[in-house]
Amino acid sequence: MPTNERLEDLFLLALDQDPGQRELFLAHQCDGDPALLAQIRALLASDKEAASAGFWTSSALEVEAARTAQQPDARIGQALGSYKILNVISSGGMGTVYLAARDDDEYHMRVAIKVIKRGMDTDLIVRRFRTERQILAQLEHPNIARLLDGGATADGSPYLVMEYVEGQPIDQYADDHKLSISERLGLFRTVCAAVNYAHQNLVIHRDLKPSNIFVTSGGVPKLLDFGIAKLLSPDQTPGANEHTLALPFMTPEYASPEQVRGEPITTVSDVYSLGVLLYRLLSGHAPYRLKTRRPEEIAQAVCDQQPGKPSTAAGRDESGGTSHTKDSGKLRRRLRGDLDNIVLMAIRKEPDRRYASVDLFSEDIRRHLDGLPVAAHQDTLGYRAGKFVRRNRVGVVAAILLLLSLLGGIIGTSWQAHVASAQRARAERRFNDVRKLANSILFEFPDAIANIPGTLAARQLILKRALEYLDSLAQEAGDDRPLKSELAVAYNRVGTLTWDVAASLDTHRKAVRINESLVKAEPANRKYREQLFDSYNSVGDSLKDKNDSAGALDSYRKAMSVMESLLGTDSNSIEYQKKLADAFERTGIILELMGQTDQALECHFKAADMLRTALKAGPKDIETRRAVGNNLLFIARGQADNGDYKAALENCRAAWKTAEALNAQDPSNVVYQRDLWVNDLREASLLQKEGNPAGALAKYRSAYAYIDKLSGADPGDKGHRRGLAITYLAMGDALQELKRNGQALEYYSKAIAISQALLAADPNKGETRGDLANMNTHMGTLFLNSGDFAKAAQFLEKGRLFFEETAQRDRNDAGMERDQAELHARLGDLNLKLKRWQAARDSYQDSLNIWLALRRRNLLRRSDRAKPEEMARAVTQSAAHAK
Amino acid sequence: MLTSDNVTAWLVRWSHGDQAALEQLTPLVYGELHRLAAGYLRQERGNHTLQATALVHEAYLQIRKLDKVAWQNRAQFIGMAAQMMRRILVDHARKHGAQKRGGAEPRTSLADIHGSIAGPDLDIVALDQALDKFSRDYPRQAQVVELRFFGGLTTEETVEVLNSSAMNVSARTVERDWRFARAWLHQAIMLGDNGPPGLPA
Repeated sequence: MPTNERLEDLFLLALDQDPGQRELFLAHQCDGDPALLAQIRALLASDKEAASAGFWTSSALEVEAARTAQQPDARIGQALGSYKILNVISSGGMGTVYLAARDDDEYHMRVAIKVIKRGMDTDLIVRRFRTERQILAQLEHPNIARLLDGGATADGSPYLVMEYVEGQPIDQYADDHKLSISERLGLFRTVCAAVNYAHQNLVIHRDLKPSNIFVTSGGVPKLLDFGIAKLLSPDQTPGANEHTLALPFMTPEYASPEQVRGEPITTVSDVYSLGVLLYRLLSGHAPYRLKTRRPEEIAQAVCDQQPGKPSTAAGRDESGGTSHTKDSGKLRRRLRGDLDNIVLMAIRKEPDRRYASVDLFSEDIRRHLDGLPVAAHQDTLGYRAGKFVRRNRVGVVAAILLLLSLLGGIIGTSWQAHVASAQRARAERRFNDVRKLANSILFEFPDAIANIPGTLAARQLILKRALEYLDSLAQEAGDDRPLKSELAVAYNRVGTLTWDVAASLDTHRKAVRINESLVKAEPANRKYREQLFDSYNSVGDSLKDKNDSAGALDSYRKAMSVMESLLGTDSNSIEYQKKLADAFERTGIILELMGQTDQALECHFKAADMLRTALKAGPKDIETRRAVGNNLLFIARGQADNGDYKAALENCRAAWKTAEALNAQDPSNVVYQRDLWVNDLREASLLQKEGNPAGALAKYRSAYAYIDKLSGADPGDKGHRRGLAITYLAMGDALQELKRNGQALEYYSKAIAISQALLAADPNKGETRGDLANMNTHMGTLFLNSGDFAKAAQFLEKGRLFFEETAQRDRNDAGMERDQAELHARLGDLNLKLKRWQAARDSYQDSLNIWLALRRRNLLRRSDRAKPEEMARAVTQSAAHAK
Repeated sequence: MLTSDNVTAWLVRWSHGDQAALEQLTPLVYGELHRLAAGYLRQERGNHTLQATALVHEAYLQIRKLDKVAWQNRAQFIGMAAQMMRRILVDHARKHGAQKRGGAEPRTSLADIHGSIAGPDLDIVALDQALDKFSRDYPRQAQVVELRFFGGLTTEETVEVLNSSAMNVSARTVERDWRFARAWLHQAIMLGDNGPPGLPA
């Protein structure tokens, strides 16, 4: 068709023209044919849109796969064999479990159908099902859910039909019904009886965990999925039925070491899983303390980590575990001894050192309940030391870790000796030697590796072990003040090195509690008061990280008053001067966050005075020099807030010189590199505020170079990742101001991608959510300014949701409220552009309300003072339009 | 399970008009589709574009192992496989709830899953309909879309397939056809109607 050929030709020819020449070219070519002209124009517009739509560069398969990933389950409502699928019960790595009812049955018997994910060997599973079904069908026990049927779906996925059990996972049930320890033990023994019955029928469960042990509302436990794990395990060699590899979908926490390692599985593997279950039921915690939920880490812990006693775990972090009693001291006493020993015996690493059968395990619990002596006994020190030697092959870091966990044991043992032994002096000497060694490991080794980029993972492991060691030591400390003092310092240190906010706050609070009791017992002891000062500061820092500004301010003020009184006892102490300066600094920062700029500046100037005195006394002291540089930056920020950019820039540059001098002295130290990054970032933002976006962009680039290098050296360091995201955001802002929208978009996208990953890694980190709120707002603003209102709405809405979530989960600080007010103003602008007058008015009103609230609380920054009036005008104007 | 023998057999039967044969081939594509979808859910990145191609190529490699090749050449087979992919993917989209409204849906998009910028997704069913319409006036251009987008073929492979059916095209032609077809289809789909306004129906 000639018309068609011409349309394509013209379209392609038009594309070949310079964009500026296109209209002229088309006008000439389509002379007298306005319809053709319109067609070409529309196609050119489409071409532009299509080029930016991601899907045209992928394939139909991917597009459909991505859509499928977003779809609700398609099987609901469909029939499977003689069952009709009603709903999804759960969905996991292995597949999906559905609630279904018999289609042809007038009673509509309910069943659970597990549809195995594709990718597993269907034929093999179906074949295995046929050979095993006889055995499994024979398992008739009131506490075992029956396997009823099995087959393959139309698209080839194997499925299993099982008795449907309505109830709760056993751990949840026990907590919800507030079962006592004895009741928990009784319930657990019923589970043991069912497992034992299956073992007598030569069936091993292989995947015992709370989600496979349901308790009905009548209190009857029912074991699900008996023998299923074997049906679904990867190929087995004939005749080696018990030699099965660990399942990729197994919950590694409940899997025995032999399962994790792919070694032979026996009935004793079920003993182990039951032991882990009992550990959780009694203590509310898992035996292993884990930083992440990564299967590799869990597997490593299962194979190598010595679990702490359930009684120790029971007192742990109330917020984290499923604690089932308020009085953890009472619980700990109840668990100490027999129950500790019983549980630890069941979960020993070596199968032959566990209870030989589930029956014996259950019997030992009965003996305990009856007040008889139990068969389980404590692991001996000699045994642990032997383990240490066997494992001591993994390099320095691993050796430190092992030594730490070992020392916990030695200290406990020697401490008991210290108390009880007749040869008191000798025992004490030995104890103190061990303690010294432990302290040097805790304090010197992390220091030695803390500032080397790329050692984050090792650091985290050391911290985990250190905390275990401290917790066990704290139990033994009693009234020994020097020991308690050491513990407090150590807790403070571990807390500071911990990245996770909640865990860090928790650890710091332990230090505060110990220090408060020490100061109370010995008010004249300066060392205790110094420690108390440090721990108040640390708690303040953690609270600040949690966006609890008021709490942080409170804690910093406590710290200041401790230090002021100390300075009163020794007014010439340089050390105290420095520390008080530091406390003023922290207070200043928090006041600034709360919008009280003048008070903040006052604090920073006071800190500057003190630092000057300290520097005079020790001009080479690195710590003081660094503090001076930081102090200059804080002052600069306050001055910028008050509109004095000239002074601010001057201070900023002076700070840079300090940082650069330190960096030149010690170029591999990440701290100074980070300082330089911060410095450049600050200077850039001053330039931007001053109205020099090009200068700002150049400085941001320089900042980027530092943080990119840091982040590249240690990609796991979340602090650096956040730094990178913030830098991208700032660069995006400068680019947007320079009207380089394409690049701005690119940088915003990078910032958002990083922050989203950070949020996924630590959902408790409030600042990440705040960052995302801002990033989406800035992105939305970009689209707003470039006229793409649909996208603008999309991102501004995302920003709004993040702010809302932050407000719900974390306490907002004034800075965040300011950002939120700006977001509402942008939403107002957007609605204005869309001529939605009423909506615009509402958005401006939202913004106005926030500004007014800030003003009411005296939290309005100087540079924001005009905002309320500005917003009030916007409200009035849009309201006029609305009429 | 599909084996190389029956993949070929079913493809042959399907090419001879046996519609039921397509159902037998479906698991092959579905398996890959769901593997990819699961990957997206786990937020995996990777060169997914390769996977569509790999699927088609693998099917080809499977038939090459056989002596009784019913296909005259590789190109013809790949063309067939691309058609098969289109049919199966469109059926999948239709069966599993695509096209609730219009062509473009403002749901989480591919790009969003990849962690970058969100935008509307492409509805495969809408594309299929638009492509049918497009092929009436632009048969060659439509075939380019089928081979590239549904079959996952490169420009060079597309040239090879087209030339095997006695069309004499260059890589440049394929690229230009693609550009034109993409604009045409994008407009048709995004407008949610049957084609760009004012185009000959």
